[in-house]
Amino acid sequence: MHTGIRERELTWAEFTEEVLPEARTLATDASAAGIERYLGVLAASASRVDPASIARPQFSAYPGYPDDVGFALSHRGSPFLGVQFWIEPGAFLPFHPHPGGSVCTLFLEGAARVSNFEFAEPMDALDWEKKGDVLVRRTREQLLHPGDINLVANPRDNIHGFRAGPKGARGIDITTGNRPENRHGDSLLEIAGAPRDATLGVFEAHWRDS
Amino acid sequence: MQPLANRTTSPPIDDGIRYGRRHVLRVAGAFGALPFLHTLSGRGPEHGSLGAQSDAFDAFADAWRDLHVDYMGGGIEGEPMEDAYLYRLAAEARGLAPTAVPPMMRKAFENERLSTGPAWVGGAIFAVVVEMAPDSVLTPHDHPGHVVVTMGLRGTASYAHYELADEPPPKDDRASPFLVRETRTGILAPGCTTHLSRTRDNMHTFRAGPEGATLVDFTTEIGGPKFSMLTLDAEPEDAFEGLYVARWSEVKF
Repeated sequence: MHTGIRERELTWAEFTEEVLPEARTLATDASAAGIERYLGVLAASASRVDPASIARPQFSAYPGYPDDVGFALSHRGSPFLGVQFWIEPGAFLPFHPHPGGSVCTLFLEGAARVSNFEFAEPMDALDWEKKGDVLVRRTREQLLHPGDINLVANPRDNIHGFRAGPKGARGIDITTGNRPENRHGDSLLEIAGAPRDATLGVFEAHWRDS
Repeated sequence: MQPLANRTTSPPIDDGIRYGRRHVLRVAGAFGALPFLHTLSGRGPEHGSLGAQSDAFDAFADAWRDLHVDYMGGGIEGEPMEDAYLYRLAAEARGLAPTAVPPMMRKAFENERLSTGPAWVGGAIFAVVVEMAPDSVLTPHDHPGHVVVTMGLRGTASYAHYELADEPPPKDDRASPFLVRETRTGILAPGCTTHLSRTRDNMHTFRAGPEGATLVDFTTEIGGPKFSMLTLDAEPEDAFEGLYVARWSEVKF
């Protein structure tokens, strides 16, 4: 039920060849609308990629992240990187924001539930010394199967975290530094289990030591 | 049936389709009955648009038409690319101020909780506005003949998408259960979007927040069976996979 009408006919190499010329142009527009359009172009091409065409790499632990989550750099280039992740069955890739840019996650293997949040206040008003609590707004939860896509824009849906299913979860984050001046190092967030405001999906969160 | 002002013409698109920007579409009377979406079936691309709208919406509509031709009107090797089309269209929609979306032209359906009707029509692509009273629910329903980008315009609404997880019974069989998978949930605030294709996330339901909500469905008609309402069990069969037992139900908002 997760196949599109059209066959997924692109390999990763064909995807990059197809998308890079337009992506390089669009990535220069760091406005919110510009990032949306950039992500739309990435996602449109990524939706045609055959997940089986992306080989499973050797994964490594990453400082600050749990041991049951691994990462591997699969594509280095401009304007985006391709970072594969693997989450052991039932494990959780912790919530983290992408203030410096955007992510198009193409899901490859297993199943995961991804939750997206965004900061309840403008990101440039946040204390990036990561002290104290912050309020975040839950915007989306999505079940991911191979071929599915989840987008982290900026500032929309800028925080994501993944819970792997019983067979684990592998995906590739097509990560772009649309706003490199806003990078503030790696940051993990703990988000409360129950909302402060259920109607608006507002939760309390605090920075984790990483 | 009244003509609208500001007729202009645009160059023919190279696949032979000719759209007239702000051209008159004489289908106002077609919105008189539910499900009005299906009254648009078979209307050809020679029809243009109906509705008074801003320059920003005109620009969006032009981009929408281009995407429709590029991804749905042929595409590579003549096959539609629904997901690619939806991601591009959603990105364009998110660049559109909610206030730029034209108002509902007329109510095609109304009860005490919600009203719905067309806001803009451009042949097989059209915008349908849904106005929801506080805490009202738009019952789960599928869109077998459409692909849709929904955007919040006012207030907030929570939403859920489902898709078929096994072979469903005929739609006139209201007794036989089948499984659907809850694929995505979220909250639509003004400017936020969600979307569905014919095979992915094809069913959706909305619950308005305490201030009510106004939504717009940027709908592309592909043709096929009518949409159907369904009921879902309150608790999932499988929480991680989001599997719910469902049954087709009467068309009822």
